[in-house]
Amino acid sequence: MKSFFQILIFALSMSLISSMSLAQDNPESVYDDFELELEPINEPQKKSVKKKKRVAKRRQAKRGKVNSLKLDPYKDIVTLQRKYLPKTERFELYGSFTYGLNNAFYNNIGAHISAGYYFTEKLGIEASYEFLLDSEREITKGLEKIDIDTRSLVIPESYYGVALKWAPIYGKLAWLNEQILHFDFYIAPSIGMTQTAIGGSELTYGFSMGQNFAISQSLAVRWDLRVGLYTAEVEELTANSNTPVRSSSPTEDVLFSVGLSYFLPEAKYR
Amino acid sequence: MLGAGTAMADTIKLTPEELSLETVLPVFEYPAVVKNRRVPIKGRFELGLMAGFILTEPLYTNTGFALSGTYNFTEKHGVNLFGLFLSGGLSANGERLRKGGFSREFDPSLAPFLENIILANYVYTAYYGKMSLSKKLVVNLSLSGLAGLGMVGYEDSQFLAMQLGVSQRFFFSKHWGINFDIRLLGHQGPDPTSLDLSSNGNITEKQPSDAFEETFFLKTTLAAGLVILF
Repeated sequence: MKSFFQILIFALSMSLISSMSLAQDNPESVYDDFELELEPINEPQKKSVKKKKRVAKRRQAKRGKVNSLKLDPYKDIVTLQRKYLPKTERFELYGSFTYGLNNAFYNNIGAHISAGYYFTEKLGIEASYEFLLDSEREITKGLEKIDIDTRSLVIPESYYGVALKWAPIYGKLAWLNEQILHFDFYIAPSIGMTQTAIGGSELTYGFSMGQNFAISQSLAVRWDLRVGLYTAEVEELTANSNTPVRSSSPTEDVLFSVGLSYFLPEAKYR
Repeated sequence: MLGAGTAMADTIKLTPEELSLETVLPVFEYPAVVKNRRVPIKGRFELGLMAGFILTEPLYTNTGFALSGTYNFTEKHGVNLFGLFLSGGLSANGERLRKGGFSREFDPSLAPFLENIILANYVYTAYYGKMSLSKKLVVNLSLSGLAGLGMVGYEDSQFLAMQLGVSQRFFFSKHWGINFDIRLLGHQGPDPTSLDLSSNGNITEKQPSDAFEETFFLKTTLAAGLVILF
């Protein structure tokens, strides 16, 4: 009897020691047991989540949609690699001669300077200043010769403003079929002030369009056509009165400029 | 015996100055950067149907209808016939002047109106290119310079005219596109301010062109519209 209990205690202690040693060899085994115990509770949830994912995937495949999250590394796709004159994160300095296209009574010739910055290839902002020298056309001299007062004609003298530039179009031209020139085309709504000859300063809403023809990676020939709309204060004499009367005159200036653009700093390629 | 050959071999050393430092590309006598044009114009006729504006017309109507026909001998050279037909009448400034809005009355309608401008031009197409408006839409474009001579027609007379201009065409297919012209036009013509066209000057009826002094006018014209290629 005594020996039986001795053997039993020995066996129990040996099994305890062996399980402890096993645990030391594989500490995870404790956790495995724990997971095994929980498995019957978790398994249905996991299966339902997996099933939902499979169904969602099949639906997406049917719609032809691509999960954009999976394409994160390719989100930034560039359709035109290594543009000849990239503009992203570069400043543009532009200087040009300007000519007024639509003033029937005065010749408007002047100069235009502007400085801009491009956030992306397509979007940028620009601040401009323009000054104009005016000279009378023959018709105006003829009217003054027969004592007709021309004070009520609006004469723009200078303009300053800011524009938002959007350049959605990029292309190439063959010059005389010997050389390729790269260009882009932009439109730019603007707001600014026009100073007139009688000392007025008028709020001007504008719209420009133009092209940059790249000569090098920093230099381009640019033309620009700006239409400025404002209401100018004028003084006029009428046939019934010798006292000048102040009135408003809606005015539209169409100015064409051609010049050079310089881009800095050095271009970064994608 | 075999060793004798190697014994005779010598090592040639070149100084850096003698080595080629840059690569060169062949220069062709007649380079052609565009081999196949999507919109060829050689030997083709272009018809332009446009609206025309005289941007610097002070006293008379400045809008009209413009027709142009161009024949292209080659991709670069062509001839063009351009006509701008005006509707006649006074502009807003002309009406204001007639009603006494400029300190006194003056009636420009008593002078002859400019009715039409017809010019023959030499066309030089220096640029041909393309641009992408979207992934599926490519538009070809060409830029041409124009120089020409012709006549301007008043109600009862004609005078010599000359012009310089630039034309840009955007082609949406091989057969049609849109066209924008800006031209600088110079011409002789009767100066309406050379006579006092008012009751002060005792003139109340329409006067012929030869009653006025001639002067030189410099005007800017713009034409925009459709161009069809045949």
